[in-house]
Amino acid sequence: MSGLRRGSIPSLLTLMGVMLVLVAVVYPAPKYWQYVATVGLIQAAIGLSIGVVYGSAGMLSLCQVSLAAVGSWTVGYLSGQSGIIPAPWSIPFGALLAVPIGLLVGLPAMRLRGVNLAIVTLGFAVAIYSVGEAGEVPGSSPTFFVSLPAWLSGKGMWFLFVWASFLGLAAAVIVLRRSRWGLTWLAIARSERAAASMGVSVFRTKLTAFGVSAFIAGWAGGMLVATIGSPDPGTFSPLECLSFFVLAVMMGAGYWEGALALGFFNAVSSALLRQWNLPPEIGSLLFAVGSVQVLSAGHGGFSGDVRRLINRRRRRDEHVVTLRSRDASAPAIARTDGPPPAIDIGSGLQFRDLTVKYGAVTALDSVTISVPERSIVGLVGPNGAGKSTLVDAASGFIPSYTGNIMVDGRSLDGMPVHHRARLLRRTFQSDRTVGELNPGDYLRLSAVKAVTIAEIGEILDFVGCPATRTRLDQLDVRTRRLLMIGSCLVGQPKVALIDEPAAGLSADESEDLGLRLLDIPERFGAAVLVIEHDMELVRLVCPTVAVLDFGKLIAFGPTAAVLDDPQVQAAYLGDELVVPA
Amino acid sequence: MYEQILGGLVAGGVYAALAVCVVVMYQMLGVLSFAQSALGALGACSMLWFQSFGMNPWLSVLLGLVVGAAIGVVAGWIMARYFLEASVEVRSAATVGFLVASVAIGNRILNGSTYSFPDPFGGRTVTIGGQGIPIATLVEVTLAFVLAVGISVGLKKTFLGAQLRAMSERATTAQLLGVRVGLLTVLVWSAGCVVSTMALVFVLPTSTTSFPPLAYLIVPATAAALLGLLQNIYMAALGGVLIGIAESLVLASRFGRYTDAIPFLIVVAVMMYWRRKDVWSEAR
Repeated sequence: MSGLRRGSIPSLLTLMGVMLVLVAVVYPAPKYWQYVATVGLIQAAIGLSIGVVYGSAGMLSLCQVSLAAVGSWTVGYLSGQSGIIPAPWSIPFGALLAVPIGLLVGLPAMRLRGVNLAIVTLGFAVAIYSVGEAGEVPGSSPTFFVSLPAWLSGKGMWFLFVWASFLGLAAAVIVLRRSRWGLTWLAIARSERAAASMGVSVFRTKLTAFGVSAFIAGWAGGMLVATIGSPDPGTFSPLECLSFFVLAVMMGAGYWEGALALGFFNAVSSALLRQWNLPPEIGSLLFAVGSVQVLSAGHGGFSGDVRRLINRRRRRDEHVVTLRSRDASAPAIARTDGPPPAIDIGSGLQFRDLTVKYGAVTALDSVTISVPERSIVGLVGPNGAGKSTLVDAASGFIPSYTGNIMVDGRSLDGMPVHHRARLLRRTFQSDRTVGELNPGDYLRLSAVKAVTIAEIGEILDFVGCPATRTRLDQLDVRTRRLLMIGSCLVGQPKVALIDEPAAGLSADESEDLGLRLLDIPERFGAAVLVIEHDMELVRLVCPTVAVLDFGKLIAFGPTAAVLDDPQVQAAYLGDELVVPA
Repeated sequence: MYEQILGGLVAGGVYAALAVCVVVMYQMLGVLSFAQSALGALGACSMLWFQSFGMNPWLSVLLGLVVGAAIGVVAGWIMARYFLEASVEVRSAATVGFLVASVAIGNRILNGSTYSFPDPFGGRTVTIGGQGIPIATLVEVTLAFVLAVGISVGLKKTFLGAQLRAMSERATTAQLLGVRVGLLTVLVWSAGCVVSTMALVFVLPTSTTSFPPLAYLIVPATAAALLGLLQNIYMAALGGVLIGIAESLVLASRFGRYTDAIPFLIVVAVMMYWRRKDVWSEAR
């Protein structure tokens, strides 16, 4: 279980070690180099902020430097223009004020993604810049001077303050990344649908990412104005936004060491270019080339390289992840063909008169299927029959269906996806696991409420996956498929919808999977609907089966009888192929 | 107000031409080129360099377009060589790198000194409804729409258009059909940069000598492209003109200092309405 217990401690210790080396080198250094290091650490903090929103949550936000501007104006106003609160005590206020602005920018992200969001956030950066340049926002005019109190003006004191701030912010990001918030950020970056089906509120997750990143950026902006002495609109220009984005990509700012490298390289390179009387543009040119190189190689930049190096060394000692087959000595639950299905049931999952239309196409036509509690029902049908539409309707991705979907007598109609996840979980045909997580963290994310290590261990045991620290994107497809099923079960749902679990598996693997599925009702107390094309698996696992064809339910009953039904065979194989017995 | 609307056409025409470029490249190559105005501005700035040898303005414009095409070839080659299989986001993020690099080079070329760039049309105007409009403006707006019509007809009617459409659907599959995807990518980038250079030539005489504002023209241009949902080049061109006019109207009002915020506000409002049903990131 060592893979499950490992928390953020190793990362925190490494951070502490690197930061102690930094202070040991910089503190005795001349004042100029202390200044360079101070600016570098502030830029590293902006890197952290980009790391949260882009590196973790995958949102292409190009305006993080503008959020730092909000922090700088606040400090400019509180400590310069009005002098109500002296620096550095105004800096937390700057960070707090940046949060609502960050949330405001986050709102368009609810509907806009990828490049669309990039355009909008770049537009925001230009807007903020023009507002700042106009100098009418309180605290934004460069005529106000922000001075530091005596205790921070001593040699190296301000550097120590910024150093401690970065240490605190980076430590907070490390802890957050391992917390539920951090896990949900990674989850929405991978797939919003999969995250929502695990009970994650996509809305809240995006807002927390924007809020946290805005807080960090605001803090950095506040420190910057206190370092320079007065607000300077040029520091927060859209070009800076873009340059920082490029740097964040190059360094892999999603991790703290990437953010620190960002600040270090940016500050040191510009200081050296200044010393050597070389144009400052050389720095941006190098960073631009570096970022294009990193993007084309797709290896996650500087921090990605560092982590791969560490992992390579570690993996030598680690076992290769091999799935354990289901324990052969455990009694296989004998499956007998079920009785004819009841239509009205009080418990389990029930679709009643479910109709889904996409424009003129009727994808599901008045379908009524019931899956009694602690039972397994198969759902088969040729491609395009409406099987996945049924799963989508149950999990809440189809807003306009008619009819009812009930779980344990509770109607799911109108319920948001992440609320349905408390009652009903699903898997996807394609792999939607979160590649950056290890199996334990992935299951921790999937459980809506806090789970114990023992509970996670039980699920891992069930799917036969060892408690490894290996990332999911390093594991094979079969393991990931089984973990997707495990992620359903860790949420303790009343109903699990398993969508084509055997796709791409060999016959042996498929049988092993079938035996595991058979255990689910007893072991986890859930009703299971298995959608599958592999008839061997269906015969092995499902006492009852429902058949869809062109959106209509053409058969529903005991498996052997249904699969031998000529009408069902015709639907699958085509009429001309059916040979009368 | 009539005056402001006509005034807005100058900027609007540039936005429209750039927006058409952005949409076509997005559709053909699956990349949102944030560098489009910056690359065009580099081409346009090279004209200043030719100009400094006392070259004929028209000849320097011609050579500048050649430079623009060459810049496009370089950018296209990088994209074709390293980003053929990459996602739209990754490719577009790479163009942010192009932008930063262009600004670095452009800053060195301009270097804060003032250049005077003669208008190829010698500042001549035509009078419409009692208002003098620079010929350059009319050419610019016409260019944007002629481009839009030309491209959409070309894509539908020509063999090259069919190849480009095949490539835009799925580059790898098109490659299997014998489409020379690398060559076409370079071609589209090159053409895009020529058009952007042309678009930038028209703003150069009136703009500042600092390079970054030229690169920022991509903001209203991409905003306009979004108004065409990154699909419809006519809507994108129209969006560009409308954003130009809106900016001009605001500039004349007492909120004039906040003109640069206009594209952001328009695009947020329109997109939040149009995309209100896009609750999920991916289809199924």
